[in-house]
Amino acid sequence: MAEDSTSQDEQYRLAAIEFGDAINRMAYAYERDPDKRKDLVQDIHFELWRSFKVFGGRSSVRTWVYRIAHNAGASHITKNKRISQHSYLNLDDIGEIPDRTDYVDAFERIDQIDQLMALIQRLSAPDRQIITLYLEDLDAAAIGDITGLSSGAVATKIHRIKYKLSELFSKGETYVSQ
Amino acid sequence: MSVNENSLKSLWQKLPSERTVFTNAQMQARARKFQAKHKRRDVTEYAGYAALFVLVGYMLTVRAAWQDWVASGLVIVGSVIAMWNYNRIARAKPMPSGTAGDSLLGSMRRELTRQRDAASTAWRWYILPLTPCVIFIAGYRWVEEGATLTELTDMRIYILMMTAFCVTFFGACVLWQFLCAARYQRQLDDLARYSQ
Repeated sequence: MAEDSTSQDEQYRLAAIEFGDAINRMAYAYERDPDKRKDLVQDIHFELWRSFKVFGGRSSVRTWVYRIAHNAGASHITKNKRISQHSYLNLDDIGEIPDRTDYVDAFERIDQIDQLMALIQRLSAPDRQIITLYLEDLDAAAIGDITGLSSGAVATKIHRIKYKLSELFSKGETYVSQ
Repeated sequence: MSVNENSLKSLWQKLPSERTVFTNAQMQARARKFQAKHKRRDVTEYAGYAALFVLVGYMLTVRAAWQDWVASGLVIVGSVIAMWNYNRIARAKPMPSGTAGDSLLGSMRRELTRQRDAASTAWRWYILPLTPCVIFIAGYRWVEEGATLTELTDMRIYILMMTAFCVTFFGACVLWQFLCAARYQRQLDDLARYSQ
């Protein structure tokens, strides 16, 4: 029993060291408010720690961590419901997001990362998961493993993501310098 | 212009981040807080039951005919069954740790299916246990009003109105639950389409 507990603690510690930054970034995708984001990060870590009790190597640690983190993130948005379910969009509906020029008019200037966040935080949970995993530089097979989608379906969605991002960032100013 | 995806990824990966590793003691404390929250919810629920029993007990001291005992018994049994079913079938629960590592789509599908099934059968496990009490009270009050069962006294009009109210209320609850079940089904269909 004590050995199990040590193993759970140790597995959690190693995962937190390796994936801590990725968890923090994922929290950005699910919570805009910095204080609530801290709570969410803590929730994810707690769920992760709890989950290592039953992990038993049933997938790679990376897959496990991302699944736990996204499940916790999705629960977080369901719990908070600050934006109603209906206002989350699928990738296909992203065209309805206000133009960059609208943002500029409204807020004078919003930098690229804010735009990206504005886009991500309006997506439905599954699309949000795919876009963040894509930005984490995971390939389609790894994303498929984590999301439960086929690699083909992931590749299609990533293609759409790229298109939408291209559309979003090509409206208005140049977006990122190399 | 076209999006430079590497730059975008690099932008994402350079988001400000504070390395966090919680200590075992912090996790244990968090687990205790988590359990305390659930314990508080249970205590609130039991307090509700206690209040119901006190209320029914008080009613019995005022009118203690056998019909009142039966009606009280039906209220208590119906409420306990409805709440037990609610806890078993529909209550929001923390994710069981055994399923914590399921894919997000799998988790969403499981939760939506659970909610859909709970909503579509709510009439059976939540409303039905409470109806014998309503039927019994309305019935015996009706009979109590006099030998002629068809005579429409003031009390019988009142009973009819109360019965109509209960039927409307329960009917609205059932209808609402069916609408919720249909909404969950639509979300499940969306999810199925999304997975293709």
